[in-house]
Amino acid sequence: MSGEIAVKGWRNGLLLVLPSEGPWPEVITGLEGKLEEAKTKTFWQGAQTTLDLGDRPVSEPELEELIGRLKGDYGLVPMAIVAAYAPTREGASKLGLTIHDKLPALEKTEKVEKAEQPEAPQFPPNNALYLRQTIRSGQRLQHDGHLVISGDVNAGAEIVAAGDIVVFGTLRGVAHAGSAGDEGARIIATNLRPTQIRIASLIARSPDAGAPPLSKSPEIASIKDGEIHISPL
Amino acid sequence: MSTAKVIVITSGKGGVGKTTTTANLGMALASMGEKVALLDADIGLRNLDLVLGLENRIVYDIVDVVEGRCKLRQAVIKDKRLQNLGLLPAAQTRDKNAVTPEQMIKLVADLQEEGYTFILIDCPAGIEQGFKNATAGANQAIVVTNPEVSSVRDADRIVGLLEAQDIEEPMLIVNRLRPKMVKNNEMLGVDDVQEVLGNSVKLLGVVPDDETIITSTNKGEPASMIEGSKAGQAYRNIARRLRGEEVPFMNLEEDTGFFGKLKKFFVAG
Repeated sequence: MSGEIAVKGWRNGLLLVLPSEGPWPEVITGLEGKLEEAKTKTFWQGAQTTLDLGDRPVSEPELEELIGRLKGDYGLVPMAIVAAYAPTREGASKLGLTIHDKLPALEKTEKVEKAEQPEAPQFPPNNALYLRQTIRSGQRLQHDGHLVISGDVNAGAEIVAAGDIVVFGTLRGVAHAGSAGDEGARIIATNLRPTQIRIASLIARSPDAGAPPLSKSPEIASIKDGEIHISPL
Repeated sequence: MSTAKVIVITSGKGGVGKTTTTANLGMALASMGEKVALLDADIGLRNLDLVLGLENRIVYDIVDVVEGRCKLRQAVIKDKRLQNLGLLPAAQTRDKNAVTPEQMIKLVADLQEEGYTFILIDCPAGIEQGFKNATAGANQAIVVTNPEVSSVRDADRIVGLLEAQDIEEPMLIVNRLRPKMVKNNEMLGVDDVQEVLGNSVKLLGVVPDDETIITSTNKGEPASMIEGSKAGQAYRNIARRLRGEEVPFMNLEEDTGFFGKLKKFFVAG
């Protein structure tokens, strides 16, 4: 394990495993090679990323530089690290990362049986972003937790959340809840008239012209029996 | 420093009436005694001079000023009808990258020094460099839209971009409205447009679709100078609102004959 650099897909994003030994610059070069290689195959823009450092001591500047590169060069969102070495953990906490002693176990209630996808780390489950504004055409909003908007989401706008989406207003644009794969995610709007709704990997579009007018009362979209269903709230 | 109103007239989508609006409002404001400068920021697709009938007077243009080939005062063309209306024409042989937002800010500041009370900037269609240039020096914005979905969609995009800049809440002009079609549910109404754009966008005026606009544009005589033109009247009303007057919105409903009037009478009663 100590000599291996690994880039793995997680249910909630990416896991980067770095070896416990070997010179740091070489590790970085190796990681970048792996990332470049995987870049062509995987779409991970905005993916929540966990960094497994094992018991390797990493200084705060080193860590800061690596995090900056992951964000800047690869569009990743570093969220957590796994580190056993205390000073490394201290540095990570200064950088606002969630810290684990060892790889966290998967939630018991969720069963994901995919061999190539190891267990997901636990991210702050109730991390919500509240915005009081209108999201207009051409604007894209992405958040790694729940998203609550007090205002309209206009046609041509796109909102993406790893958790639920709640709109106190008219939702006319494209909304994607559970973007990291959570099929339990829901989309709620006081006036649900979206161009398209996506939950996890499912997509539903608004009916073409000629369909009955959409309800003006609050509605909720969620996955039932493998399909997106819309029902009154 | 003077406190001129520097207003960019923009829409995102092309062909909705930005240039016509700029020309008409400029004329109307000047006829009310304001000292008005019109700035054509649509470099490479120069039009504002045509609509004003001033094409043959152009010697220098905006790029000449920016690149120091002439003084600002030399490039500003005095209108042939109104002495207090000036036009700084766009260059036709260059493109949007010929000026920078910083240069536009400087240009607007210099125009203010000249004592203009209103500076109207005719923004090109699109959201690229030309839009960035045109909005850079402005402190207010008018968004022009037609009552149709594609135009409203682009207006929404523009409002979003304007909100990200240091510009007051944008004002809205709904242009080319056909009241009859709205009545028959064949065209978006003003309230439909406002529903999409939201409360933060203030309705400045509604201009009816009017054939006099086409003839007046071709002749280089803005409709706001023509008595009896409904669109011209709408533009004059908007100009008065820009000056801070409270002007009630025009009734755009066409006369529907005796019974229509009778009905209105009863409703009013």
